[in-house]
Amino acid sequence: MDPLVSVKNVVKRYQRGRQIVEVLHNLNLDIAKGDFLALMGPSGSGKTTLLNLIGGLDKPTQGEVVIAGERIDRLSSGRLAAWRARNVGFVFQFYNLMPTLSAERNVELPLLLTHLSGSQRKQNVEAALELVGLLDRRRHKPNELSGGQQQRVAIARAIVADPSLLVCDEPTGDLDRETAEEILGLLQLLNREQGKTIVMVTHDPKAAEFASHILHLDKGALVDAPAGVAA
Amino acid sequence: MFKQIVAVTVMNIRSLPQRLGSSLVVVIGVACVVAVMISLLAIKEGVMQSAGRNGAPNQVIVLSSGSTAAYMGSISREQAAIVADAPGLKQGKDGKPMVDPQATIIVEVTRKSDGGSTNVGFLGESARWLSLDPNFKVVKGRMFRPAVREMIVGKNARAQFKNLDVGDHVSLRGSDWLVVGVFEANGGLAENTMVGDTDTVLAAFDRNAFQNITAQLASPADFKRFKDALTSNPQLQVDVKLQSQYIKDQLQQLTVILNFVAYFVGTVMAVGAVFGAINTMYSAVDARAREIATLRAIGFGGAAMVVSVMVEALLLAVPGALLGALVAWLAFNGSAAHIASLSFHLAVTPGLLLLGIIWSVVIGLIGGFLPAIRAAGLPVATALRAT
Amino acid sequence: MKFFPLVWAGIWRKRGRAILTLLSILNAFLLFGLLQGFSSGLNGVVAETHADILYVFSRVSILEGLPIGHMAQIRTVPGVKAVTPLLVFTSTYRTPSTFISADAIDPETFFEAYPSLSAPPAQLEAMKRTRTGALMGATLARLHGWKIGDTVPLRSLFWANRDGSPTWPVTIVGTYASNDPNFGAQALLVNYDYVDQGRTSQNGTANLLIIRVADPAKAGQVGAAVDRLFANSPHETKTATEGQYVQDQIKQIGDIGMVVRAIMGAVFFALLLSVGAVMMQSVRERTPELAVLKTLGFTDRGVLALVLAETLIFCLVSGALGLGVAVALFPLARNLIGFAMHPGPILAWGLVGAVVLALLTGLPPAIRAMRLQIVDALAGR
Repeated sequence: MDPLVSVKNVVKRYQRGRQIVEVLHNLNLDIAKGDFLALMGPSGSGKTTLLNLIGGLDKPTQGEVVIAGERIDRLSSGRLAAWRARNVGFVFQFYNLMPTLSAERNVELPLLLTHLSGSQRKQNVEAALELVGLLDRRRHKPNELSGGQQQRVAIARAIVADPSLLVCDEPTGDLDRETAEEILGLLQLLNREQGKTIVMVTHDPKAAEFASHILHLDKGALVDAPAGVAA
Repeated sequence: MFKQIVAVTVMNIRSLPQRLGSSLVVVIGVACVVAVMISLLAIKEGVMQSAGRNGAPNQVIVLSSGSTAAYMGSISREQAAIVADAPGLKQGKDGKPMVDPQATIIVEVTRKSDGGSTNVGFLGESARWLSLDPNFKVVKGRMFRPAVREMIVGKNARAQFKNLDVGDHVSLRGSDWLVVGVFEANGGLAENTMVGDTDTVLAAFDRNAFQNITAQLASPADFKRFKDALTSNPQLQVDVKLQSQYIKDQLQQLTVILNFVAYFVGTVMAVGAVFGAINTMYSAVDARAREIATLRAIGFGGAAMVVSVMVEALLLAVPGALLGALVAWLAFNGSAAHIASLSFHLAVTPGLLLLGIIWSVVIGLIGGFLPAIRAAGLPVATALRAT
Repeated sequence: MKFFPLVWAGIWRKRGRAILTLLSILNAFLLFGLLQGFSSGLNGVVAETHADILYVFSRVSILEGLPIGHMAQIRTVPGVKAVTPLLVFTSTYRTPSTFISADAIDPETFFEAYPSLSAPPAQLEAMKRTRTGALMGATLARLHGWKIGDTVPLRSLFWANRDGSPTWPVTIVGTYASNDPNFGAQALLVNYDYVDQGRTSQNGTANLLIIRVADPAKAGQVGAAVDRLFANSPHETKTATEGQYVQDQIKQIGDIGMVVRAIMGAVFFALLLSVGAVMMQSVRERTPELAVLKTLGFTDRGVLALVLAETLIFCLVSGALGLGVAVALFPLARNLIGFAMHPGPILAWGLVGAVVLALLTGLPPAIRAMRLQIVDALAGR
């Protein structure tokens, strides 16, 4: 079976002031559909960079990023935006909810980019909030919700458009142990029952245990498998 | 306490360049308010200056009772003779009392600028009276001769209106008048008028009585005596005013309107500037929330915070006023303007500059007040956590 | 508009700041509405004049008199329907600062020549019969509490009474009504004969002769013909339509339009800076949020549109409120200045101004938002 995500010979360089820094060196990685992958590594290892490439937030300097058979590194920024809207959901360490919008309005945001009618959008939003267990708090603003609740709203937002891929950057980094486990459990649920492919960056080994596979990144290269396929 | 204020204020000022954009908003906002207000008031100042020239304190004008302006009057020769005998009049160099019964006819002339018409005064004065006036000077051509239809034209009138230069013919009431000279009157209002020989003017316009009488008193203290003698005389029905008072009364409506417009517009603009200042100062306080909270945690008092924010607001507002005053001065000071026939030059006076500064202080104080309170009352713990 | 909640939330992100900015825009547009309203209102006065009315003045000035003998000759000019004299008789009543706007007219011909004014026939007859008779306007009656039958002592500003006393007593015999926006109900009409026979100078003259022409289209021709009649005579005339006369008066004051434009220029400039600063700051604060929108799939252009939409709605609403307040004050202003101000052109120009304001203050921050790089913004760079 073809992998959902295929990263081929990817190099990523940045310009920091006068210097050019190479953050990812000739990286190769395949992620199967339905996998729950944890990416671990020390700070500066390039894991967030890799995540950004997989999520279509950035483009590689060299190499290919293929998702569901599509070369997303070839897409124009406008097309890439549309691709993101349909195919990937993001969960960030600091939730990144719009502070001025209620929970349901926050969750609705990705749907504004579709052609769904108002009532259809409402249906999908309620379904997503129900799934994360926050339907009764849908009118609350982020500052009226706890950290864990905010992250759940963020997850609802990430799945409301039913993307096949979820990209999570330290999703439990700002939460206490108990809440973190709730969130990770939710991600597991989304992976096992809804078949969502999840790529999660974390520095917490306990969090990584919730995933099906763990890969380590150090200084811009995968440590585990030599030019490996992790399937 | 004072040291605290100074320390905090210096810190605020040092960080100003980081907030240059929003700080400029206050400076320029205040500058605009002050520039507009000063420019509008400069019109009024210019009018007042022109009117105030040649206002000798012993100069008086006699009008028909109830008249609000000279051209409305009707004073017969007999009545004029009574006035000439009144007590308190100055003796002229020629031994005769300083009194001159005059004609005032309002005449329409054509503007050079757009061809429209303006009403100007065509005065009838005696050559004797003019020769005794130290401010009066014929600068081009010559003086008019008596009993002939000759006139002289004031400098401003000649500049503003058509066909009023030496050699031009003016047709009025079916008769032809020749312009024989141009005169200056030390920048006073007379420069907006035309002047001819009194009896000739009266005859040409079918008037059998004078319109007003101008006179000079021996001393300003003689005013009451002179006025009482005339107003108590049953053969006369006159009002007596000091020339300076008369001019002020004539201009009163105009100055009221000019003041109203200037202050109304200035106030509305100032309100806008206050809103802008409040916004800027709020964002300044917010941007430095952590600094301020740190200072307060260290022990700087709330009062020092309040004063330092207000000082900062003033340090932005007052230069704004200076800038605005400078712009108004450069653009308008001395520039010529006219309202109806009244020609004058706009005057940006030191008084106006002071007014501008006062307004900017008020704007700065009001604008800085609420943000200053916020700076003083910032909850220290939350502010220290602000990212 | 499904994006409306998002745009609206963006506008009110910082409520205090939004309100202050709204108030400054409102303030500026209020000033604009009033100033421009005044300026256009002045021009509007000209439009309200009668096309079939001519004013004949002495060529010397409107304060000089014309011999009423001119009327007989004027009647011979083809196209003249009616002629009537008017002598300005401004007076004071009781105190030197209480002015009465009185005019001495000929009751036989006045209302025919100036049809926007009218008087009940019985009262008009009384006016013709009573030498000292006077017709008052409703406003005047209300102001001084005059009733029919009252004797009102007037003190003329211009003329002394032949009998030696300073007063001219008149008897109120009725009222007149006016549907003319320029000649209101605040005048007192007295008999020309009474004044002319009593005054000591300039007898047999009137300040102006009012002509009503049969065909408004020919008004200019008739006026020129009248002036030709008296050219090179001792009493030359200057005849103009009511509209021309009013316009001339206005032009005498000076270029008001230019003053208004200069003031609004300064106001707009200051507003541009302050609103621009607020918009730019608002976008800067929201950099992470805008980046998140992009991660969700909003395109660069979409984010630009979002910021522009915010600015547009904000400026339009604030500007509309300011204009609305100005227009609401128009009736009050009318009482102050005496002529009406019309909302139409103000609203149109104000709308344009609000849009221009929105574009100039919204585009730079919108472009900045468009150019935002997701990765840098999320990382806090």
